[in-house]
Amino acid sequence: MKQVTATAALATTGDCDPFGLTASPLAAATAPMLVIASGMSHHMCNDRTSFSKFKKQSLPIVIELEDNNSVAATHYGFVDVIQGYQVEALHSPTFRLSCLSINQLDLGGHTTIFQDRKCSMTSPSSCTLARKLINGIYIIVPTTILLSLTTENGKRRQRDSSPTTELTIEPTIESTIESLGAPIAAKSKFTRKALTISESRFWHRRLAHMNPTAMKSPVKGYTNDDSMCTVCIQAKHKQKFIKVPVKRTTKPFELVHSDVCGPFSTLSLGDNRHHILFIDDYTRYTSVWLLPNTKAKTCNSANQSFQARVD
Amino acid sequence: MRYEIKRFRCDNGRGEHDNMTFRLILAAHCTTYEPRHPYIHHKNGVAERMIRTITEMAWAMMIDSQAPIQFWGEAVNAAVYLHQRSPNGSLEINDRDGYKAPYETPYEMVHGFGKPMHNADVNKISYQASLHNLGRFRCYPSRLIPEVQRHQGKLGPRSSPA
Repeated sequence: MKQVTATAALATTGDCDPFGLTASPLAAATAPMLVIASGMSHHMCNDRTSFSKFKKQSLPIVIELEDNNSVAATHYGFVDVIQGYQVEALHSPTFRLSCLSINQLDLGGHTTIFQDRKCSMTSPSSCTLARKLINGIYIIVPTTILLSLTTENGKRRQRDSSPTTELTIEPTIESTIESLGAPIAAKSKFTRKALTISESRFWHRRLAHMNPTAMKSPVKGYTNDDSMCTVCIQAKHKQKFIKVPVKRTTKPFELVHSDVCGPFSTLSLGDNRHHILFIDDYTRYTSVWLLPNTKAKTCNSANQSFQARVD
Repeated sequence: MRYEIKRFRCDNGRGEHDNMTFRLILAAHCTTYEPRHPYIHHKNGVAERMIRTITEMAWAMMIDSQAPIQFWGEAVNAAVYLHQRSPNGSLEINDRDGYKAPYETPYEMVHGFGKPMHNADVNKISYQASLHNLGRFRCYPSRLIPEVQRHQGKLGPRSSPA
């Protein structure tokens, strides 16, 4: 699979549709953005909300990536490619893009032709999909949120020649809805649709890993993701203090607490820097010995004299 | 005092308690070794809190007496001596069925455990140490008078209060 690095930034240009990507508003609620990939063995989708008939795998499928990492796909289900046409796909929330595998399309009896910078797929039930080549990637975008894809240097790269194609995905919030057939049905500048989980994650990273509960105020349509962000765990990990009440003992010297205090910067009269305390748990009878250092020999002699006092 | 230490609890001090000699000392007295987890000091809370109590007592005496700092060892020893003989609020935990524990200080608890209960009104038996020997923790600085300056010769005072 191709390693796709996606960084997100707000697009400043607004309403225009630079790549001629038009979308059906009916399919937009469920269908994800799909990238046509030749190296994938299965269809993959990262968006849980796109699935219908979401099921758990009996054994999770391990997907090996090109950068020697591996990802486990635990669920599978059916995803709308376009409205009314579904494929079976694996679910992996760690993928940044959803991919349509050509191998699987071929096994399913589809004919896929790449020609004239277009990709046309013909299914057995004579359902035809055709997509343009956009900056090195064949992409099916049936979502309401417009995604403009540009390569890093603004140049077009052939996807087969470069193993790592860097993408910048810029979701424009003020998106244009253009219904199929009608020229411009509605310009919904101010209606904010619910963001997909991957877009919500972009916003989570963009706002310096903000608390998901607080994200709902600045980011309209933020959908909370149940899976934890690993960066958040690493950066904000805190020890939980559990105070367990301990039973006091019932006999003197059943339990003795001990700790060494020091070093103090000033030597005492006997050239000592530390002191060691022995506290009986039942009576709180405390004994102290001054120590020149915390070596084993000096501590042991203090222990022995304490034992001698107790005995 | 004729007691046996059953269990010994401390922090996981590398070098201080975690050595074979110390284990052998404990084993010779049939004591169980209970080290707490390293770097988790609140698991050794009783000892840590007692260090604070003793240090506060010692430093109060140091400031009150205006003694030089190198006398901290004496102040700590005096604080522990006084803590043994002072009433301790945590000893009332041993209440059973509304019966208040008869001992007020660690000293009388250690020395009077298992012996006949003292009753201040009837028996007049008390295990509390006498406090008549206590004095104020203070510092007497004095200046040595050179021999040539002693006006009364050999019978005169050798030092004067500073």
